[in-house]
Amino acid sequence: MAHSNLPRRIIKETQRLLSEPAPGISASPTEENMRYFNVMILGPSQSPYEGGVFKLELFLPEEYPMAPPKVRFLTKIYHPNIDKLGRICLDILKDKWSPALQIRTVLLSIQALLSAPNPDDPLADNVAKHWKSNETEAVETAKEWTRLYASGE
Amino acid sequence: MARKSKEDDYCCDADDDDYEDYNSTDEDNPEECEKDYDFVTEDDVRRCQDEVTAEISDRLSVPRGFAAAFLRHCRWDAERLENEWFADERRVRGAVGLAAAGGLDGDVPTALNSLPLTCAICFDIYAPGEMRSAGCSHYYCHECWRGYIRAAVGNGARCLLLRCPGPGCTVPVVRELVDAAAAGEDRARYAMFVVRSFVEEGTSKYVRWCPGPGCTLAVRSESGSRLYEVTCKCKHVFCFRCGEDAHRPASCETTRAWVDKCRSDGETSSWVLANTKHCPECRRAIEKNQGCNHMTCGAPCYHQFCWLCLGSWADHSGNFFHCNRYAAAKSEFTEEKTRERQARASLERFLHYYERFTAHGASMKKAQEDLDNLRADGGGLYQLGDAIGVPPTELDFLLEAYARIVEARRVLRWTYAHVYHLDPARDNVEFYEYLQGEAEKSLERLHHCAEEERDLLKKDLYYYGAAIPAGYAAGKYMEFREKLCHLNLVTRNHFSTLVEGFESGMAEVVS
Ligand SMILES: [Zn+2]
Ligand SMILES: [Zn+2]
Ligand SMILES: [Zn+2]
Ligand SMILES: [Zn+2]
Repeated sequence: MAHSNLPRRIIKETQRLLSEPAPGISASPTEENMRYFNVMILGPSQSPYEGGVFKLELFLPEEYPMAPPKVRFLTKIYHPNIDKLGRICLDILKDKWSPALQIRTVLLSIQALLSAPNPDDPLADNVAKHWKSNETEAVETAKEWTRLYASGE
Repeated sequence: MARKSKEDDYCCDADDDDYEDYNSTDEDNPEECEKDYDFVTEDDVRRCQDEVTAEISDRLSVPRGFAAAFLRHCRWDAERLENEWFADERRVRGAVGLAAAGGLDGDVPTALNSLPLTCAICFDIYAPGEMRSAGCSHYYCHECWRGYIRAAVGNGARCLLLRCPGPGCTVPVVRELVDAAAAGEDRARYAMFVVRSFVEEGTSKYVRWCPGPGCTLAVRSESGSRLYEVTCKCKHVFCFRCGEDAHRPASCETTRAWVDKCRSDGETSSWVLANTKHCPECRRAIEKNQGCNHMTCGAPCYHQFCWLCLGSWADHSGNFFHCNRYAAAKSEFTEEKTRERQARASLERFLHYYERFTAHGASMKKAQEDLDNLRADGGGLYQLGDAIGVPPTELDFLLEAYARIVEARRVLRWTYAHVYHLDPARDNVEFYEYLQGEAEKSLERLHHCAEEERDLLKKDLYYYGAAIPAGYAAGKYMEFREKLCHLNLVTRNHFSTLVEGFESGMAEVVS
């Protein structure tokens, strides 16, 4: 494993992620690249994503932790703050990033975003519009997508 | 002689009236009244900023770094800061991320740890004194601060808004902390952003960078002056209010609109101008499609002519086979849809002004080059002086004429931007165009005299060579000098009337 020039912070964060995972979240680095993580987030209960298993990829750029990790959903998801390509609109992944935040905080924030979609700060415009004009219907679509794409296969 | 008739031309009555008037408009001469500014270097700006910051730091009893943060929040307006501070100190502190009152030790811009702690960025443990905070309770090691500030400075001027990395902590990272923690080059870049902020984010009423290419000077105006146009030491002439190239008599708002229009349509327009000629019959703009030289004007003219010589196409039947493949395009052109025609009409209208704006700009540039050449050591002035037998120092009137031409071309080009933005339904366009036309005529005569008649004079004298009749050169020279000086005054008066007329009607244009 290419451990040699990995900052101690990343090694420690990884060890903690593996030994004390946050509830509903798993993250493990790949064999080939210790900066590239396979992530799984369980859809929070009482959200349209309940019962779903969402796969994400997380990458720690060279500048990490001075620059935020890059995170993207791999599983298709119907959510006003997540676009077709899986990109996530979350302030701490952009200008609100601080090096005192960690991979764990980022993933917990994403989990929270699944519980509380924010159609007022949309990334996927049509989804946000749907959410605002007819929330019941939009939630139904999100549940449908969860069944279709995030059933854990 | 042809020259004689030209003299009659310029000695017409209207111009003589102007000549008599010229003394009365003396104080309107921009060259003589706008002296209420000076030039400063970045160091001067920094010194001035340091003074303001130190003074505020004293008066509010806060460290300099915080004083700078407060000042920046109030756009570097010390008076405004003091008013806001004494009205509601809490609010001003809150705006930069500071708590309502300084901690137990008062306001501290940076502090060292007194206990061993784990750095929340690198996860290592450090002994007392090996970590620092932004005055709050979040301590990080020196190395992590260095990296944190480096990343922020790399993001540009936003580093002035840097906060403590502690999640949710809003305490600002200020100068004292940067100076204590950052690497040398990052400190320097941070300092540069601080100075720039003073000029660029300041109320900018009083200091402004010269936008001239490669120029690093700032211009400082007397407070309270209504400074408009500034000529920098680098020769760049710009508007002190908006930073664009000097644009009198167009207002800053008109200028912005015009510059935007040129940006969006200018490229198309340059292309159209390069590829457009006017129908020799009706003068409308004709766009050249592809390489075909057979042009047909639109309805109702339908004049057919040759692109190359602008002669009637009837005389060009021998070339016809070159053009027949564009017949389809041609019939499409005559059956344009109304919408297209309207778009075209609006483009044509813009083109009319854009072409003149551009042409006067080009003439201005040429005149500036001529002026520079005349002034250059051993330049045109010396050659001319040699030819006429006059010391170059006596040829100042020629330099003055060229300076007038440059200035007048600049004004004239902006009148086209101004007239383009007039509303024919509301504004007296004819009045503006009358002033513009008169001024333009006087300028063309002046420019012609300075350029061609000067040349003619030189050639004339050269022709006679050594066989020059006694007194002939002196006579010719005096004639030229008198005429040029006279035209200069006439032009000056026309342009001061023009600027006055345009600017006094300005309120009607930009509302
Ligand atoms: Zn803090
Ligand atoms: Zn550290
Ligand atoms: Zn300059
Ligand atoms: Zn301006």
